[in-house]
Amino acid sequence: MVFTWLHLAILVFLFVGVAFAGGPLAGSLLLAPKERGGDVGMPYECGMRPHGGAWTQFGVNYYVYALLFLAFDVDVLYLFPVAAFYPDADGFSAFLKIFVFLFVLALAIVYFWAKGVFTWPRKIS
Amino acid sequence: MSMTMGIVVLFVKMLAVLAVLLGMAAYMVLLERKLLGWFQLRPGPNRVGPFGLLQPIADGLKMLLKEDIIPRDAERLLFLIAPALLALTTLLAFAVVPFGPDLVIGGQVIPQVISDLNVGLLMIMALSSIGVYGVALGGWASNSKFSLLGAIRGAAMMISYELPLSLALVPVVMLSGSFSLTDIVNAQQGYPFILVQPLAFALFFVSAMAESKRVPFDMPEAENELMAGFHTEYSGMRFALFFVGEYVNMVLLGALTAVFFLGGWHGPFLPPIVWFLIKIMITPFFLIWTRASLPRLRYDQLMHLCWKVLTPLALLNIIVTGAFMAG
Amino acid sequence: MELAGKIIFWFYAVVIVAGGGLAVTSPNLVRAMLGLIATLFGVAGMYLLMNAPLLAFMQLLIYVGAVSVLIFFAIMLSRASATGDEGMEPGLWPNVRAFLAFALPMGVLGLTAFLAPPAGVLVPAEVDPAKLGQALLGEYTLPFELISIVLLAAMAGAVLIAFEKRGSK
Repeated sequence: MVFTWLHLAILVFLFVGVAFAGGPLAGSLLLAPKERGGDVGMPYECGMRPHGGAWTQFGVNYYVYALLFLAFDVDVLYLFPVAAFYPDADGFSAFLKIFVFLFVLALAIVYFWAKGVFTWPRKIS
Repeated sequence: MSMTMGIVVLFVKMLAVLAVLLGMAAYMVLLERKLLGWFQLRPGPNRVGPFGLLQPIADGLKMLLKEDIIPRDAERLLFLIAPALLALTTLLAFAVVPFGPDLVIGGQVIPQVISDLNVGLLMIMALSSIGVYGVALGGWASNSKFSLLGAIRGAAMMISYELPLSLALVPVVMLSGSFSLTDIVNAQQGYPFILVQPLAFALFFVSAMAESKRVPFDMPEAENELMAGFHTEYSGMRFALFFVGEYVNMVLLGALTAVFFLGGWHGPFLPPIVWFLIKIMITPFFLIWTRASLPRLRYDQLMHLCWKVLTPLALLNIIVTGAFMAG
Repeated sequence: MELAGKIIFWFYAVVIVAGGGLAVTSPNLVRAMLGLIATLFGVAGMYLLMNAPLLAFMQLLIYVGAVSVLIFFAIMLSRASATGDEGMEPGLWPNVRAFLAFALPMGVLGLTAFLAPPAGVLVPAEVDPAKLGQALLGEYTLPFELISIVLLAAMAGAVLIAFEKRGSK
């Protein structure tokens, strides 16, 4: 187990940040007025009385984008260490390897583009 | 360095960064209102103090004295912590931003960064994608239709702009050979990366505009359609926290642009810290300018922009950079 | 610093277990997701303690930043309120199955760790990210190229399934 200065700094910054966010909230708890009852807690819909709750189902489209994002994000993360080593790598063969990697990624984009994934449907089922 | 000495230095640096940051964020609000006023040929706020300089204090006091309403059907716990989450993630990113070269005080070398993490860039990206939870959870927990739509849009935007944002940084890492923000700035001793990577800069800047959730990419809070989007139901200090988060985020994006592309603290004549603060202000100025001049996109347009234009361009940019470096 | 490290270790352990507990017991799916996120943060903290900051932030970036957002959208696909099917009390049999699914891998892993403990390292060495890149470009070129192909196949499969659903309606 190693507890480094960096780790300490991150943790302390985290707690200072929490204190910074919590301080004003505590202040407003003491100073701000409080109203109860009536329609104070009604969800805001421009003065209309809301019909039903807000938590409904959403279309599958967002999910598809999230899936693509996840896969690409993993790809990018592998790209980063390679990029950090790139200045010291032996020129052409390293370039070729990265090129193949990126080519497959570009292929993925072209494929999904042609497939119509990036076309937002007019009516989301 | 001894233990107590180290802790004292750490706290001093931390408080200095927080003080500078919050001061900048507060005056960013004033700057935005002033600039918007001038863009629209009106004076802007000028009643509180000379030139309206005390306006941020008046705003803060007002927020503090406003009631903090929790909607009846809200998911209380999530509703309460979401704004803090947003402010916290943006603040935390400043732990790795270097403000200047190493200082030597009494024989001790003190770097002007809270922690020079060797994977600082990854931490910034992780925090930037975690920041979306403040929006998504805050909007969802409100249990209001406007808020939920804003939350979904916010999350959907994040999964679109985050990719070009990180891909645009790959050439920067390739040129500097490190993830540490200090090393990246040091690699720009001779010339800033914007000169050799104009395309990466443009991609980063557009993605950063999307990340800031401001016009033309302010769909999560589009006021004409969604009232205030994900923070429709927030009031008082919690609403203020969302705003602090947004303005600190503007400062953060300014600092990141300066570090990655504008050469950080490097510059002639003036002291490094002054150069860095000047460079930080460039991006927020442009963000405010676009707010005064551009209309809002639809969110599917943003997603198409990110997936069909920015991401392919970013991939191409990496290949071209790689070819140049290999050749 | 040694003592501080131990205290922090237990702090993260509590966060991990508490988050996991919230994730499996909460009837509200979004709260369960929050518990999962807390667990992931705790694990990232453990990686930091093991001197692997790269892994820690990758964990945050991928699992908190991407996988959990995916889960968020998946919850939005479902009826996420606590009154839906998900909020109902499971019977005896699902509980037994869930316990088995938890106990089996747990038992195997725990026994292995207990019977044949790997040699511990007191102060783990930190691996430079560039070194990882060197390995990916040198020794592990094939896996590196396969990553993008495997992920392409995974994406294509997932999108095809989701699209069939969309087209049929």
